[in-house]
Amino acid sequence: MSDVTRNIEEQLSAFLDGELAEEELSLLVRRLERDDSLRGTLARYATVGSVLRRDPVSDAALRFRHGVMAAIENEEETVAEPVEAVGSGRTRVVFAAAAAVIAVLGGVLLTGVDGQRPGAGAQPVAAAGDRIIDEAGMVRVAETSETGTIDRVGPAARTAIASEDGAPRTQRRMRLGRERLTSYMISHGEYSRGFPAALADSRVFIQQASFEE
Amino acid sequence: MSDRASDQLLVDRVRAGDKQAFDLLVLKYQHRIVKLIMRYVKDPAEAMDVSQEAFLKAYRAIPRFRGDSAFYTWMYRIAINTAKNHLVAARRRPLEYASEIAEPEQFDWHMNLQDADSPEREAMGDELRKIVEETIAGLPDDLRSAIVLREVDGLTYDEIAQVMECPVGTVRSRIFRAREAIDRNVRPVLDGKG
Repeated sequence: MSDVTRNIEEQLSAFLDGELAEEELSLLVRRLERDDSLRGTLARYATVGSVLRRDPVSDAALRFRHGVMAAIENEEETVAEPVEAVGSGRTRVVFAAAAAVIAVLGGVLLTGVDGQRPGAGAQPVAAAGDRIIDEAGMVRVAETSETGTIDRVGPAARTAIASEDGAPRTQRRMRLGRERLTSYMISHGEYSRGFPAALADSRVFIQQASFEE
Repeated sequence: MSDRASDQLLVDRVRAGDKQAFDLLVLKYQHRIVKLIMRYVKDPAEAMDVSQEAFLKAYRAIPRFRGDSAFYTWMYRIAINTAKNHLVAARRRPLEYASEIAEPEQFDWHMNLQDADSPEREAMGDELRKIVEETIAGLPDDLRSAIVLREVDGLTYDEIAQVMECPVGTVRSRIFRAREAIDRNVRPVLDGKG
């Protein structure tokens, strides 16, 4: 056995007794972490001490620390999986929140609130400052909160209302709603004068089909 | 460096994410912890399971270990609590123990029953004990005295140096040479087992 090896093994012996000098400790710990045979030597020294003290010694006792480390590894692998699931769950929440914000903004920009019907229980469909489409099909800014029932609200606004709760398909519905609104305006508003009626009707029909996908 | 400082260095490394450092702590204290738990849990295999659980609890709790006490003292408390909890849980199962004992401390008389081990375990323990005792008997007096004072009586190097009237460095060297001689003989038996 070389002098270096003997010197290291003497350090192991002192380490086991808690008597190793500080300057030797860090280096030895690093060696132990890298060198299985050194750990084996340390384990044998510890076993010899147990035998001398008449502690119970068995095969299971000799493999004990491997069992502990394996249990730690298993536990950490198990904990790692839920973290990934939480991450994807959080991601879903973030996207849903973003979609809800887009839906609300889209509703604010494109809502076609079709007139107002005051009365008890009427729900406001546009707040003051919202851009709405009046009965003439013109986009204007609501000066006060405007109310209307669902059946009087144009399809785009209905879509916007439905999506204010942040439903996951809001973004697609908003796009489709926007397209339907455009078709509505083309076929029913003053912009329709410049288009052939058949084409406008076809467009509405096509958009209707798209919306129902 | 004291035992406590040495252990604290390992604890700090575990906290920094170094699992191998915890392996060294287990290696250092497993025999003492298993022996302690066997004062409460009669069955050796069950005691191993409880000991493993105690070390796992310690690993999970290490981020909260403040170092106010020595690591072994802290580990000792975890081990006792784990053993006691195990006993409480065991009382819900059909009685497996020879008698109902109210306090864990009353289990001391069970220690004698630990010798009633499985034949295989007894054989291995006997074989090792025989090799160790024969090797020690053949050592020079100074090496034999140093290793016995350390392992059996638990004296520190300073205390052994006072008893043997020699420098601490000499104590360290004598203890190592004794272990080296014993290891040469037990290695063929233990290799591949631990």
